[in-house]
Amino acid sequence: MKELAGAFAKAAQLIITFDPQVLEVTFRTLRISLTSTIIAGLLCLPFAGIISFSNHSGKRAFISFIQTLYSLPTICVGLLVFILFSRSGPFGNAGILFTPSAMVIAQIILISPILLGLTISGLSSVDKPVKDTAVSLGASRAQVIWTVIKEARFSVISGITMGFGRAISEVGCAIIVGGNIKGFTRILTTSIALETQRGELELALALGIILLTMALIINLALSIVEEKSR
Amino acid sequence: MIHIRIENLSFSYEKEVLKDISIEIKAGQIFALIGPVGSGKTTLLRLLNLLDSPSSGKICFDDVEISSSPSQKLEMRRKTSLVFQKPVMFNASVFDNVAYPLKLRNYQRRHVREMTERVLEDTGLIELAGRNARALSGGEVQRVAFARAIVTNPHLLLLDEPTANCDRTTINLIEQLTMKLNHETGTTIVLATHAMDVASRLAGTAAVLIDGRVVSTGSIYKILNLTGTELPQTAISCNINGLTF
Repeated sequence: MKELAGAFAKAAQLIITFDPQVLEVTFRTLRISLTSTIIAGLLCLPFAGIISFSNHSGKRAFISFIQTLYSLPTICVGLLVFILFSRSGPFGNAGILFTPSAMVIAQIILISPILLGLTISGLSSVDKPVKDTAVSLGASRAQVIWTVIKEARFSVISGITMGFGRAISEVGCAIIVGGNIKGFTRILTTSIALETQRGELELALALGIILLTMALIINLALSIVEEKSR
Repeated sequence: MIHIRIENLSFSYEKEVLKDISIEIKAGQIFALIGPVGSGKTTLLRLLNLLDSPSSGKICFDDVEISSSPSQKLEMRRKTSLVFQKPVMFNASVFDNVAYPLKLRNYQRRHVREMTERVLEDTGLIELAGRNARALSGGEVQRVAFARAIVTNPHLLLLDEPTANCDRTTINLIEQLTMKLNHETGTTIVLATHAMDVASRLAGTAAVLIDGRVVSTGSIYKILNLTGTELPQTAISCNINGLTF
């Protein structure tokens, strides 16, 4: 309890004093997680639309496979990206291992199944009459998909929120492909892991509180967007 | 205005819904499809809107049979509007719902605003423009669906029980606007209804559908045995082949 109380005090102190190191790590965390969420969203939304509208026989199997990947271990994704981008790997020439770019790629792989699965599920829940109405009013196939995405926007926002939550809270990928380099790839979760190993439990807990507060603010902002769009 | 020729059209969905239908609808005509519930009227409208494809037979628009090519279907659909019996409102404002078909056709923003506002005025919906369309009453939804269908000045307007569950004021408004559209732009209108009074007030010619078959076609007055001197203002019934509806 003493440590917890101390952690809250430490967190308050770090926030109030605008501790430069904490600010830097916080902004880097936000930048990497938001970038990966936005890119994953841009990739997954149209793909989810195409899958949702397809009548391919393998659709159900594909959705089951995607849903299985919800619980993809972050450490496995980190390992995969590490192998792909290590010097001897197929994309070794890109030279992005231990950079924020590699962290973004790993997070995209990690959160895409969640975004894809929840978006497909949201689009499937839009009634057929909505699609028929769009088609009857002269919508092309792409316009129908966009209309249905707009109608399913609450599910889409939920998917984005969950994807962002997974991205910002993961530590396995970030350590393996980012390397936790101070001032370059260190983010809140890797800082927490480091401070815990160093025995700085108060600081680790304080960073955890900051991470939770940030996730809360982003979730609240998305809830407001969702509410306004109703 | 579009001329429609339906030849030996059949449609099956688990069971045969339409059987060997042949009808000709002249360009600029208001044509009524009359029949009891479940007679296949809605299915025929869906086929005319190319939402479904016939099992056999063909539909020609201006003597051209639309192939299964998506671009040709889209081109035809953009000349057509369908008002469903139970219209679906998008989760957006009344204005955005009515403007939707114009945005699909990439009209300039200024034109979208002008055309939408004009139709909202005509349909008495301008006061509701900012309201969420899903929060409207049944009659208001019907008016929005009608406004959304006519905003593009379609060449072919398909109406499926457009005044069902509407009050007298809304019925009058929709009927007046239907007549006005037909007179001013020559839009071909196909109206599916089981209400004989509505059909007789709007349509010149009609086909009676019973159990998926056309049992009678011709002048609405001939079909309904009306004198033509006075249009019925209240519901009237019709007895064809021993079936009263």
